Amino acid sequence: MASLNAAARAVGTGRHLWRPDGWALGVGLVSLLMALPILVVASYALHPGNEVWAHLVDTVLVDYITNSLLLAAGVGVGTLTIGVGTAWLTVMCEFPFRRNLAWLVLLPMAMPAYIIAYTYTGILEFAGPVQDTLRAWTGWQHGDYWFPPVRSLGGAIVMLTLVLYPYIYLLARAAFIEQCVCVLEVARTLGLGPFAVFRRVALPLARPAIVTGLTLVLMETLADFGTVKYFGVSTFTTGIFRTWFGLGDQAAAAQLSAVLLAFVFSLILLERWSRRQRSYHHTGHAYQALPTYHLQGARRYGATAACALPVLLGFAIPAGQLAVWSWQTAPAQLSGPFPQLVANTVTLAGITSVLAVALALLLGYGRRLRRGALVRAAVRIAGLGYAVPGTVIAVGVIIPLAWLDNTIDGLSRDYLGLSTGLILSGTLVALVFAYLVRFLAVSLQTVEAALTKVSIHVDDTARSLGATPMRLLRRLHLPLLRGSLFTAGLLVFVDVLKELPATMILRPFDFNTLAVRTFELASDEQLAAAAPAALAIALTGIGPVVLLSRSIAHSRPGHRKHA
Amino acid sequence: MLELESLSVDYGTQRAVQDLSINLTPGQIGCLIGPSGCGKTTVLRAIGGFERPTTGRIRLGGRVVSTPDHIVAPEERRIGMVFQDLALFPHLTVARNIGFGLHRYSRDQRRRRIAGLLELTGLEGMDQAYPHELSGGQQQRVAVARAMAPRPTIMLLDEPFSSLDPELRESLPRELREIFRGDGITVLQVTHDQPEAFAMADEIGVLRAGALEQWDTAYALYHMPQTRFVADFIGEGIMLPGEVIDERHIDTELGHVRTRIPEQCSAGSAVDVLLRPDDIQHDDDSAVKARVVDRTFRGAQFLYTLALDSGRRVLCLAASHHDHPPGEYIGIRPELDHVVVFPGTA
Repeated sequence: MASLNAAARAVGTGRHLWRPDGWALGVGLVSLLMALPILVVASYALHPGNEVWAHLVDTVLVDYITNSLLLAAGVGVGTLTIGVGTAWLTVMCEFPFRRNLAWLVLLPMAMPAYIIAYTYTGILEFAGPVQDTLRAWTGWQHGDYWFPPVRSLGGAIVMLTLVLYPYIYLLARAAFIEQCVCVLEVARTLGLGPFAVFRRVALPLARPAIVTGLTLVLMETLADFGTVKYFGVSTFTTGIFRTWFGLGDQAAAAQLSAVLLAFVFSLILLERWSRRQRSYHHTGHAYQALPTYHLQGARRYGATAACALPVLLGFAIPAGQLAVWSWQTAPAQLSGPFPQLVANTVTLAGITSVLAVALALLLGYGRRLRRGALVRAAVRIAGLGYAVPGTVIAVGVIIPLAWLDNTIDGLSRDYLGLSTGLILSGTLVALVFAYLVRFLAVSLQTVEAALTKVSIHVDDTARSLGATPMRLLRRLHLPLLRGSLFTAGLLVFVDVLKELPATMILRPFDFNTLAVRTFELASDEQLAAAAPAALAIALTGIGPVVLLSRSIAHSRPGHRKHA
Repeated sequence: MLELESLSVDYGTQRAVQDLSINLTPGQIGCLIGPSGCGKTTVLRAIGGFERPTTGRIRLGGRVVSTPDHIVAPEERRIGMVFQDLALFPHLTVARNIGFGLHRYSRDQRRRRIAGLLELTGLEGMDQAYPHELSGGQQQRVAVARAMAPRPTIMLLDEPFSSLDPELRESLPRELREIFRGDGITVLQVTHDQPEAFAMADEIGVLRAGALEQWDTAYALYHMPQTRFVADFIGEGIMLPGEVIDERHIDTELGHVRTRIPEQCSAGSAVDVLLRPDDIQHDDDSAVKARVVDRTFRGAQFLYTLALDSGRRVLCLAASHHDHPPGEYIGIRPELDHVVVFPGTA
C-alpha cells in the first residue's frame, strides 16, 4: 500500500491527483486511434517490396518524386511571393481599398484547387472563351500560335499557388502586425529606407511565422490529389491511387504512402528545427498603431492592383465562370441528383464535425486537467493527421478496417453461420474515421486556443468555491467556449466538404458527395454540369474566410477597431 | 485555524517548499513575503488542495486536510481564494459571480448573502454589471466578495493587489483589512510587496527558497531581523563593518556602539552592523560630516546616500526642507542604540 502511494506521487508530481484517471485514459485511447492509420502506413516502410513495388521503382517512382518536388518548389516560391507581398502591403502601406483588400485576399482559400483547375481549363482551353477571342482578333487558326497549356505541371503550380497563398498571408500578416514599432523606427533612424527595413528587419523577424505558413502550404501541395490528377501530372498521390485501383496492389500503394509520409514528416521536422533557431520572437509590446507608408501617385494604384490581382485570379474569375455555367445547367442539375448530393455531404460533414468537436473537447480538457508530459504528447499525436495527405490516411484506414471486417466476418461465419460483410470498411464508418484523423487537429487547435484563454485560476477558484469538475465544465467552460466550439465545428465541416481523395477511396459503393461528383463530371469534360456543385462548395468555404477576416480585423491589441 | 506542520512540497525533483511550519489563530491575518520563486504561491496552492505535500501535514479548523497520502479535494475544503488575475467569471454578472459558491443555499438565502456582501464591499447597485464593466478596484472587491460568500474557514490571497494601480494598492488593502477584521475572517496572503504586507498583516513570514526565515510582526522584521536575508529583504539599509570590543560594545567607523552581540562573536571578531536610514539623523550642528552622493526626494523626506570618510556609503532620512545638493558635506548624528549585529562574512 505504501509503495502504491509512493508510485502515485511519483507519477503525478502533485497536480490534481484526486481526479480519477478517466481523462488520461480517454486521451490515450483517442490519440492511439488517431495515430493508427499513420502507424499502419509507416509499418509498410519496413516491408520487403514485392514485384509491383520493384516495377514502380524501375518505372515511375523517379517521376513521382521529381514531379512532387518540382510542384512543391514552384508552389513554395509562388505562395511566398504573393503571401508575403500582400501581407506587407496591407499592413504597412496606405493605398486605396487597403482595408477591404486586407480580407478580400483571403477569399481564394474558399476555392479547392481542383475546382479552379477545371474552371481555368474551361476558360483557357482551345475552345474556351480566351482562345476564341484571341483567334477572332488575330485571325489565327489552329496551329498558328503557341498557347501555354493549362493542363501541365506549370498549370498545377499556378492553380495551387492561387488558392494556397492565403496561408502565408495570414501568418506573415500576424507577424508583421505584432512587430514592435520601435524596432522599425530605430531601423529608420539608422538610415534604412522602407524597403531595406522590410528586407533587413521585418522579414527576418517574421521568418518563423512565414516558415510555418510555408510548411502548411507544402503539406497541402503534397496532399493535393484533384488538381494533379485532372492535369495528368504524376505525383505520389495519383500514384498511390493508381497503384491501389489500377494495379490493385494494396501493399505497394501503402509503401508509396510510406515514402510520401516520410517527405511530410521531414517537412514537420524542418519546421520545428527552424523555429528552434529563433531566440528573438518577442520584440516588445507596442500598443501604438503601426506607422504606415503613404504611397504616392501611380504606386498607390500599383499596390491596389497587386493585392486585387490574386483575388481576381484566385476567386473572382473562377467563381464568375462557375456562376455562368451554373446559370446554364442548374435547372437540369437541381432536378437531378443534386439534392441527394447535398444531403449526403451535409450528413457526412455534420457527423464528422460534431464528433471532431467532442473529441477536441475531450483532448483539450484532458490536457488542461492533467498537465503531465504523457498526456501532452498524446494530444499532440492525435493532431498529427492534419499533416498527412488524405490519400495516405485512406490507405491507412482501409487496411486495418478491412482486416477487422474479415476477422469479424470469419468469426461470425464460424460461430453463427452468417456473413456480416463489410460492416466497417465499406461504410460511412471508415469515411468518418478518416476525416477525423485528418481534421481533428483543426477543431483541437481552436478548442485549445479557447481553453488557454480561460485562466487556470478560474478553474481553481471555482473548485475552491465547491464546484465539482462536472459543474465546472457545465457552468464555466461550456458557456465560455460556446463560440469557439461553433467555429471549430464550422472549420471541420468545410474541410470535410472540400475533401476529395479520401472520400473517393473510402466512400461506400454508389455514395456520392458534392466534391466527388464535381470531380467526376469535370473529369468527364462536363465542366458546366459540374459547376453547381463546385459553386456550392466554394460558397460554403467562404464561411471560415469570414471568421478569419473578422479575427484579423482587430488583432493588434489596443489598435482602433475598424468596423 | 490553519496549521502547517513541517510542510514540504516538491515539483518533480525540485523542492519548492521546505519544512514549513505556520500557525494562524482564528481571525488572524498572516502574510508570506519573499522574492519571486521563493515558493510562497506553492504554499497557498498546497493549502487550497491543488498541490500534494511531500512531507508534513495541513490542518484547517482542526481537521487534517493534506498529508502525503491523503488529500481533501479543493471543493470540500471551504477555502476562499483570490488570485492575482482575479479570475472573475467573465460571462456572469457581479451577483452571479458572488453567488457562484452558494449553490447549496436556498434562493432566498443566496439573495440575502449576495446583497450583504455587495454592501460590505461597497458594490451596491453593481449586481447586474459584468466584470469587464468594472474598474480594477471594483473587480478586486468582487473577487473578494465571491471568495467570502460561502463563509470559508480561511481566505487565501495570492498577490491580490499587484495588478492594481499604485493609489488603489495603498487604499484597498486597508479597506479589506477592515472588512476581514469586521467579519473575524482568518486570512493568509502572499506577496512580494512590502507595503502591501505591512498594510494587511498582523504577522508576516519571510520565505527564502521555500524555507521560513522569520515569522514576526512587521515591526520586529524591520527592527529585529534574525538573518541577513531578512535584514536585506525588508526595508532599506546598509551593513557597516565593525569589530567587537567586549560583550556589549562594537567599534565602528561611526564610533562605539553599545548593543547586543551575537553569541558566537568574541572580542576582536569582525561583525556587520545593520544601519537603517532612520538610524542616521541629519544634524547641521554635528561634528561628524559626510558627503552627499545621491538623494531621492520622497515628499516629506529626502533619502540621502552619504559617503563617509572611508568612502563607505550609508543612508540617511532627513526632513525634506533640508535640501543639500550632491557633493556637499552635511552633519550627521548616528543613533545606534538598538541596531542589529550580524557575524562578519569576511
